[in-house]
Amino acid sequence: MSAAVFADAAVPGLVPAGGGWAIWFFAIYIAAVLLVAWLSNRLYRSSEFLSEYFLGSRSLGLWAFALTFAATSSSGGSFIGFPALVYTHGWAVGLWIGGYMIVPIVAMGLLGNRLNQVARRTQAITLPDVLRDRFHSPVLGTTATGLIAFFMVFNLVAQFKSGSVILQSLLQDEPLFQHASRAAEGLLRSLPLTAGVDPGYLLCLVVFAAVVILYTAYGGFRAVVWTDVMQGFVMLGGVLLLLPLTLWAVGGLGAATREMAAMTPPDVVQLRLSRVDDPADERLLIPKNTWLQVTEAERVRVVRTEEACEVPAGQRVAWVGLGGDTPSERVTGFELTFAPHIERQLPQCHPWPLRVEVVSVRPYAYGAGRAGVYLTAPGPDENKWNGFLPISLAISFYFMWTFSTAGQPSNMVRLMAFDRPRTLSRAIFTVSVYYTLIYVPLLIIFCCARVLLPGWETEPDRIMPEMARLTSALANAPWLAGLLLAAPFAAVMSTMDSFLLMISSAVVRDIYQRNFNPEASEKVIKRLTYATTLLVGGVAMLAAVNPPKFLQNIIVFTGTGLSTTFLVPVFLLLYWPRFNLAGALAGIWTGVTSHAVLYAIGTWQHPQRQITAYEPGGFHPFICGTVLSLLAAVAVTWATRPPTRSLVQAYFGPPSLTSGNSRDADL
Amino acid sequence: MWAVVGFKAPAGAGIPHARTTVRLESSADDDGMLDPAFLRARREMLVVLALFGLALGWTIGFCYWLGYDATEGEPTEALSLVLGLPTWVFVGIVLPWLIIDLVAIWFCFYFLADDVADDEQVGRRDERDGPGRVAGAPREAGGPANGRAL
Repeated sequence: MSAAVFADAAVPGLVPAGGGWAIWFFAIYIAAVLLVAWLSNRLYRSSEFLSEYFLGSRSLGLWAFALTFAATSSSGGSFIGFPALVYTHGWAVGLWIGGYMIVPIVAMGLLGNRLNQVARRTQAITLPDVLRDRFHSPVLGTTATGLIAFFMVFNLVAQFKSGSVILQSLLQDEPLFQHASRAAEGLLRSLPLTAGVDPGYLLCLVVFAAVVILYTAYGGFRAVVWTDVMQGFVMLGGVLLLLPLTLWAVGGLGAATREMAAMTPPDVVQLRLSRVDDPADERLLIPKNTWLQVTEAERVRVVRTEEACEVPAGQRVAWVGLGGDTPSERVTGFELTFAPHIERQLPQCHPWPLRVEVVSVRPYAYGAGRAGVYLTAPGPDENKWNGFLPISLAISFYFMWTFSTAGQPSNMVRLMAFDRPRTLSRAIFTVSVYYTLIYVPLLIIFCCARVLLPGWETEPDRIMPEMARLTSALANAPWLAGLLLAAPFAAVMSTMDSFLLMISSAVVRDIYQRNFNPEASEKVIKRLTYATTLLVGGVAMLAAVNPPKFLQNIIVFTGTGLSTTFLVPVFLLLYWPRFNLAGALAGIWTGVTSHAVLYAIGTWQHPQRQITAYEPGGFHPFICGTVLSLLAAVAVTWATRPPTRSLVQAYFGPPSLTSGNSRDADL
Repeated sequence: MWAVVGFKAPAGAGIPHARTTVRLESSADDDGMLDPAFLRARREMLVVLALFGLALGWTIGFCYWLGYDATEGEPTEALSLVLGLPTWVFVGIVLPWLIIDLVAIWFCFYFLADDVADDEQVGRRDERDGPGRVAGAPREAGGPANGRAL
């Protein structure tokens, strides 16, 4: 313990990221979210429970609809992963995210009005309702329910973990938080499930999960939507505050871009660190992200460690992974190659009596030593010889962002919930502007971050909190950092709550009510719904205590899996009168299977068996799977009997109830 | 070539094309038998796809033309800036992004169905008598038999 304190005290810059304010903003935020849930629960007394709880009685107005859509689609990735990518690969990431310019129009316009019409005609509450009723097929409904539940449970576990990790990284330097996690530590050791789990992570998980589960279970769809609206404004506010602060700190965007044009990527280095003073009784801990100057080089060389290491008591050499299976004397890090950065970071180098040797140098696979590489596509890359974003991958991502967003069941449910066509059209415009105001500034902010904060290649996921800290410190307003840091956890929460609700609607509505007990009383349904939401959330939280590794890969796997499964069948059942049940089942199963097979191949090829996509010709399994699913659905439909005339009439025929309508004029 | 594709986008070039497509298809389906609300939704869907194609063409075209450095990174050439952004980012990403926002004004406020359909839908909702019932869709005897295929 004493050694750790010694090391921590000596490392410059370990000030709480939010200047102590992050924790208070978090608390205020939680209180507001719970208040919203309480308010929306009061609404149930006046309306039909199931439709209200899972669909907000189909009465979402403009702001609720637009912001719930935007907030659900932008998860923690938008505020942690995306900034990290921009920081690491430069302006080329603008092309990577470029598909988002058309996402609102495609994701809401492609299915929107039609899905809403059909769901109203059949009084569908969930997506499996729509599939099942369209073909009068319980088989199809149950298949859809099963697949949604399967993907979403995995996704929920991963989201819980990512939420807790983000929360922890935001709060880790807060004294109050450190006290609390130390207090929790003793309690945790005594429980079998939690032994060996980081108490800080667990504390975040429990707080985070408890809040999300509570407000989702208590408030239902309307609470989820209203908190999404709040979260949407928090995210927008955070970005729009950070942009001017950053531009001011960097001296204008032109200056930043000009400096980036001269920049060269860092080299990946292996270091050997050894003490030059007498071996001490205390061990020496060298945290990750420590700046060090290479000893006895002909020129000034500055490196930064990527992993924590430790000089054991009585020894000289620093080890990585002591206590693990494979301790090593090689410490991985990055070496700055851009002269102005070297000069600027030199005073930050730690004055420990350490001898720092560079054992090996591995330049970036693409872009090493080339000025201007951060300004152009495909962008520098540590591992890929053809750069971060070859053109085929850029096209692939453009398709993926737009159509996989359109294919998300959680988004489709929102399309079933708006109150009237005018809301949809206003919402598409609102979300278009919203995404412009989120993604373009984020791109600019984190390109500037390259100039302001060199060397975070060691831990790029921290770049958002670090920028919040730096800019608010420069603006002399530490409370601002707390506000800025609310954006990422708002983003995670708004995604998790809607997934949780999707699963519980699948269980209560699609499995229980429609298969076992269609006549269940409202009271029974109500109790069952609360219980299911709590139970599903609780189980996901327990699973996240010892979560699977490779988190982001699981999130991408389940997200693209859902869209590969549902985009084509839902699209065709809405727009193609000839489409039939066999075609729908063929589309669903071809989509799931091809997506799963491509992932299985990729995972099998990966040296560590990490969940990875196999991408034939640079195209993600989502794209391959969707194309195959479309071919299969169309081919099987043509090969089998057409649907009965009355079924087609029911969905595509003119409404018999209304008459004298002159809407044909605009066709 | 890319420029030609690109400059059409703000004018909303997709509409006439989409209209033609709707007419061709709907004549095959026997127009009179189809719900006007469905036809309108389908027309919207085709315009959405056309807009997607134009946006994709513009972004990928300009970025590929101006953004990819095949020239071993000559910094002087890379350093042409517009508003502090690299030129290719401005022309290939930020500009179309802003244009799409403008197109969205046309698309959302002048093209998409407005509340004409409201009365109809509200009226329909009143006719329904409970969750799960498929209104206007009488149960088929035995249902579609080909569902057993799987």
